[in-house]
Amino acid sequence: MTPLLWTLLLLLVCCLLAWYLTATAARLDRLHHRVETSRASLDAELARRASAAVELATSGLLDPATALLLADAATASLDAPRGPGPLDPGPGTREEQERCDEERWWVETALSQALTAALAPGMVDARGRPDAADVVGRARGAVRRVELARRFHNDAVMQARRLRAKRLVRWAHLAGHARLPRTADFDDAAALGRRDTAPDPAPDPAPGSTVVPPGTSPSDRHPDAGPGS
Amino acid sequence: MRVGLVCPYSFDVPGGVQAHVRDLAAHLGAAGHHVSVLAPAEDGAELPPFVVSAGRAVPVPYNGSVSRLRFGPVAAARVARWLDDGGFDVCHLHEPLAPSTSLLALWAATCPVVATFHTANLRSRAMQAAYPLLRPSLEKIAARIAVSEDARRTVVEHIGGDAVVVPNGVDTRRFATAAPRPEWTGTPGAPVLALLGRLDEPRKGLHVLCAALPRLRAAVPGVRVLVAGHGAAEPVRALAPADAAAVELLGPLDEPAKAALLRSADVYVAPHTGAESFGIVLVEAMSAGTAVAASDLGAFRRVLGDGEHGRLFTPGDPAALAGAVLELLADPAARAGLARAGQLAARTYDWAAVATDVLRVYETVTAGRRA
Repeated sequence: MTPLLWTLLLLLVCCLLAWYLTATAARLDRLHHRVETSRASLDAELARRASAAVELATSGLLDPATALLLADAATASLDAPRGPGPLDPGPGTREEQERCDEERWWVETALSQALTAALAPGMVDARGRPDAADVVGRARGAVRRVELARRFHNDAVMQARRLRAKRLVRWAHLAGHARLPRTADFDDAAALGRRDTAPDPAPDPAPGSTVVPPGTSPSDRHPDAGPGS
Repeated sequence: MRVGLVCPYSFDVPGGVQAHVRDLAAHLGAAGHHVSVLAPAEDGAELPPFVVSAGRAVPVPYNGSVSRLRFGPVAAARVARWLDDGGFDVCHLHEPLAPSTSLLALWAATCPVVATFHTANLRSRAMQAAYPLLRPSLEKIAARIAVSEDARRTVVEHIGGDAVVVPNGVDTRRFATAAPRPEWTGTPGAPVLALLGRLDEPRKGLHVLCAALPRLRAAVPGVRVLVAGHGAAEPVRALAPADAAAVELLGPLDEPAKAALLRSADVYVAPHTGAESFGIVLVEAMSAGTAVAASDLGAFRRVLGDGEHGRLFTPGDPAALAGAVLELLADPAARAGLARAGQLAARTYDWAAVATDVLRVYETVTAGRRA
């Protein structure tokens, strides 16, 4: 081997490595973007579900005890402190951030359980209430949307974590200062959401629209919830 | 919302995925959304107005059956142009791992991507070989949909991550209100069994039904078996002449005729031997109010509510098939009860509910982008 050949070979290896790192960085960037957007929509759907729960609780369709339980769980969800974005390195230490997330998911689990109880068969008294199907349908639809958003978010988180666990990604520090995202682990009342498509389907209040009732859009209520803020 | 749907299989050939895409497009369009479908098709084939042809498909054996697929650089360029022209809010790919338009669209897409996995039998060896190449593309999918719990399990096992289950849709009313045809309607002496599917695929199980025929004719001599679908029926030709006379091959049927056949038959038989992910034809038969006897496969068991909405028998066992069918033929009251339960259960799969759920997925995917 001549020195020239050696140099060429080294150059080739460098080029390949550079190409691979660039491609992997682009992949990671795309996954991080997915983590942030899916988390933003999970936050939006959680807010929507909480307001649908408040509406159901105050509708007079439930007995006072159930209504009070549901309203309590729903307001707890709306008032729960929002941590930083799923990839934001600060503020606070990692432990503080994780505790904040865990408390939030605990509150959402409580709301899921309250909704499961309130929407069990025979709980809603629809006599003389033509709007009952609408209110219940909105709540059920919101539950299903939370289930969807949570699954999509966790799917993105798992794939991002998988890529970030690769040795080359860690050595080359491709993730920068982005926090390692964590899955959103809470009970999303999946059984309840699916019953929405079961026999006697409740009409979806607004198919094809993403309108959130005024005053409850995530940007109004949780200025710190979305990415990039 | 502007929605781009991509179907990997030739649109002028009937098939489950094609029918699903066509119906989904129609329902989204009726709900006021802009829908464009990209699919391979023969030149000059008659297509619905919302379909854009990606060019001629080539028949290739893939995943256990012969599929008409479209690939190559010209196809890739057409797919990219369709994406550019469409300006879609969501791009919804069907069967993203089929080496055809869906995979090409996934490669080129820059808008949020939703993907529906229809199959429950991904060949794991092929997947393992191709996987490192596909992984970066697959990571672009923001929302994965599986059409059944079985299809979801396949996604989780072979690809990792998770998927949500949104079942296939059926226009239940069309089947419930179809008019039966007298020539396909059974009498107490000559009851009618129906079977639909591609006859050249062994996994559709026509040979199991044929093997059960002597037993069926021994108990009910007048029994008629109506078989509809594409392909040559080898198992029927192998039968004794007397048994073969009981089988009527109807050839491929159009949709109204299919609904009429399902309405007319006394029992719908699904003798599949494996590798089914959903069993939409079962739901169609149930919607038509026809009693169903099906192989005890995971997907069929779920559709039939563990046997509450239809009879199940051991897959590939002609004696078990004959037993289940004869039981149904012997007791018209039980058969009617089973048919009624099936019709009620089939409403879960009505398109109105399914399209609403698919829209929710689209909104979940696009909401995060706007926030």
